[in-house]
Amino acid sequence: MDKYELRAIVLSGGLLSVFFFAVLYNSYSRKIDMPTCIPFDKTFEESKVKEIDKGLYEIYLVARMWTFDPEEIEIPAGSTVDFYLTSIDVVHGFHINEKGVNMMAVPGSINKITTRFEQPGIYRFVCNEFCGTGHQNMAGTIIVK
Amino acid sequence: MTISRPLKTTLLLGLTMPMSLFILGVYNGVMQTLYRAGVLQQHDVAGINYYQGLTMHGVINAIVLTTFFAVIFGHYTIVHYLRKEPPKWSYITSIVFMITGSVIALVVMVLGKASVLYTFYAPLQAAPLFYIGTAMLIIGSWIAFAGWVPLWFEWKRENPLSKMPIAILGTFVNFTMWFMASIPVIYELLALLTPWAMGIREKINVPETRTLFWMFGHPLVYFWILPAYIGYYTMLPKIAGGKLYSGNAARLAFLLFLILSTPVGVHHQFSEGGISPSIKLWVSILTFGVSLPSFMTAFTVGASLEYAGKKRGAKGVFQWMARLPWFRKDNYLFGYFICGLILFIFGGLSGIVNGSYTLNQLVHNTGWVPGHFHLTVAGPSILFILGLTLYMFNHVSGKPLKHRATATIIPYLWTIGVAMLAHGLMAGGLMGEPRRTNMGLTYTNPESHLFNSAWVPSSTMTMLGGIIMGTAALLYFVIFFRMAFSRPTTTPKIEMIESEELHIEKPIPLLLNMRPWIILAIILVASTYYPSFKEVFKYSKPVDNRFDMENPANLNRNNE
Amino acid sequence: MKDKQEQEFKPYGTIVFMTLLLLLTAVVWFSVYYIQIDRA
Repeated sequence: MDKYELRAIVLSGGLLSVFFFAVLYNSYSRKIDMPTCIPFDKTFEESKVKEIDKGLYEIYLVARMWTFDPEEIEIPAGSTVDFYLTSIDVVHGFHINEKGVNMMAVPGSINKITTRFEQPGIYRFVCNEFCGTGHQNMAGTIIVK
Repeated sequence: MTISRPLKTTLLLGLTMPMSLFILGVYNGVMQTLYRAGVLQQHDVAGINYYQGLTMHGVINAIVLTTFFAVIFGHYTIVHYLRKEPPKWSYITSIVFMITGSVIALVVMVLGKASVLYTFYAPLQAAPLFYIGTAMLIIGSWIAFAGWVPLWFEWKRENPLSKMPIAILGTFVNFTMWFMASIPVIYELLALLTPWAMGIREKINVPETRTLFWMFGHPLVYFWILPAYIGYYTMLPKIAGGKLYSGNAARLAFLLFLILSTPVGVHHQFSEGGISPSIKLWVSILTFGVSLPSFMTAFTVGASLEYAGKKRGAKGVFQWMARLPWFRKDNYLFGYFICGLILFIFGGLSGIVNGSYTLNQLVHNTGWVPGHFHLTVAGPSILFILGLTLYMFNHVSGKPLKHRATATIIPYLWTIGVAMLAHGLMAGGLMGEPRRTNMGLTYTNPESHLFNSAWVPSSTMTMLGGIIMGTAALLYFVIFFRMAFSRPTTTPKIEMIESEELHIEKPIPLLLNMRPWIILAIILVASTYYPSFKEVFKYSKPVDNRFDMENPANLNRNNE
Repeated sequence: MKDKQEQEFKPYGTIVFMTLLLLLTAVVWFSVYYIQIDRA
């Protein structure tokens, strides 16, 4: 192979490896992770907000046409939250833009992610997967005090 | 080379029909930008609902137009290089299936019975005919491919000392990949979605359908871009006045696409629950891998263009870029190629962001995603389709392409439009602007309690870009249809621009034999998808859900 | 271009272009990466 071409490939591959390790570093040290697999169970189809311990919450979110249950959530600043998400009808999205939490709510499937709300404020979330004629009305807020 | 009447009719029909539908595709695209910017604050306009229009836009532009073009360009390439026509049964049956399937799907979409978007995610249902029509379109494309394969073996027997021409390799890689990749979606459409939509099958495993779709959905995008790559390697060097820097590099790039394009489908499912992070990590690595043939293409095509520029007397490091045939109406194709390449820089980069494992969380289902893919499918892919449609139609029909000056500036105008559209979408996306959403009703409507003022400038920028794209498209329709309705002035023929290679390279046997690569492709797909499906069935369960987009009540429950 | 010049052609301009392309890739990618760190 032409040596200049080879150099271009090696440099590109090298940059991509840097990206890969940067992402892994985030996963391990900053705990920025992917949604996890939870085996399906019908109990996840009931929405609830549970305080497990001081500053430790489990929020069981249920998405449906065209609202989230619960739609408004209040938690103290510094809380760590496990979000469990499912849908009881069609596929929905759940996106808290200011936290970078972005999950699909898929019927028959459970999704989980953990995040920590350090700063007080109002965190809006929206449904970002088309779910029917009321899709643009489907949003909510997390109020962190 | 002159061609038979039936083939000529097939080619012209295969170019004209999708281009006519593209009018509807463009209209719905421009309309969306008006809704999203809040200029239109309603559910529908002229009887077409936002989401119905969005479905038509995606299906027509990204499935019908692209598949037809790949088949017609494939016929054109095969006939030119192998100097024989495919068997009549193959190309006639193929076009009949493709047209019938597309018309069926179109009618259902126009009637509002398939407003499910081009990904048709269950449990939102479309009328069963939508799934059947789409399947027919895809199966029709397989039949065209089936006609080319015996032709190739015949040619090889008659030319035992010749290498497979690069354009033929590109075509066969593209369609082999397409065939492998569309098997899962045909299964999804005909074995799962159709009986479910008909009410024969009560339950559906939603993650299973999604995994099957995306097994198809990622290689689909390579199916869209590979014809353009064939053009970049085999036509562009000559159009620019130069030669192809390395034929071996071109071959390697195509063969890498063959093995790496299908296993990466799961990267569209990073935000879902049913597949484990470790499979997603593996798929991320493969996705980085599949960006390598594109970086290679940037180098090889860049070097070929540099050679062309230097040949015209350019000196130094950058001058070659200026010494290329920009804005020459006797060389109108150049603009379609070069603008596509420029847009692909940004399309490719944003794609790497999408595929970067956890980084995907920041952009999934936001405006960033359509920003990315308008820089790819509505960049190099569509520009190649537009340019080559003019070129092929002109040659095959013998009708004159007048307005060459207009034909020359269209790609540049389009590029300005797409750049603005994508900029607005990507900026908005990073601010959380959702895709696939009629924002004018709420998010960009100051009267709504959901109003988000931050999304107004981004969606406005997108709208301006969309209007410019629409203008470029309008100019294109005028010149294309004027040509289509005029009288032939030259003999109909097939002619293709063939670039020479710069160096005489040592033939590398591995690059001249598709078989080991096909086997490796199958191994990679199986080893990635077998565990993925196992997990899907382990973590998710089927549901008896079936919903119409207008109605939150489960259609399956109504039958009790 | 004469044959000899053809064989001596070295794509220096393309190498510069590729380097700039990779730099742009890094800038875009790390910008999004830092946005994520900022929000998490």
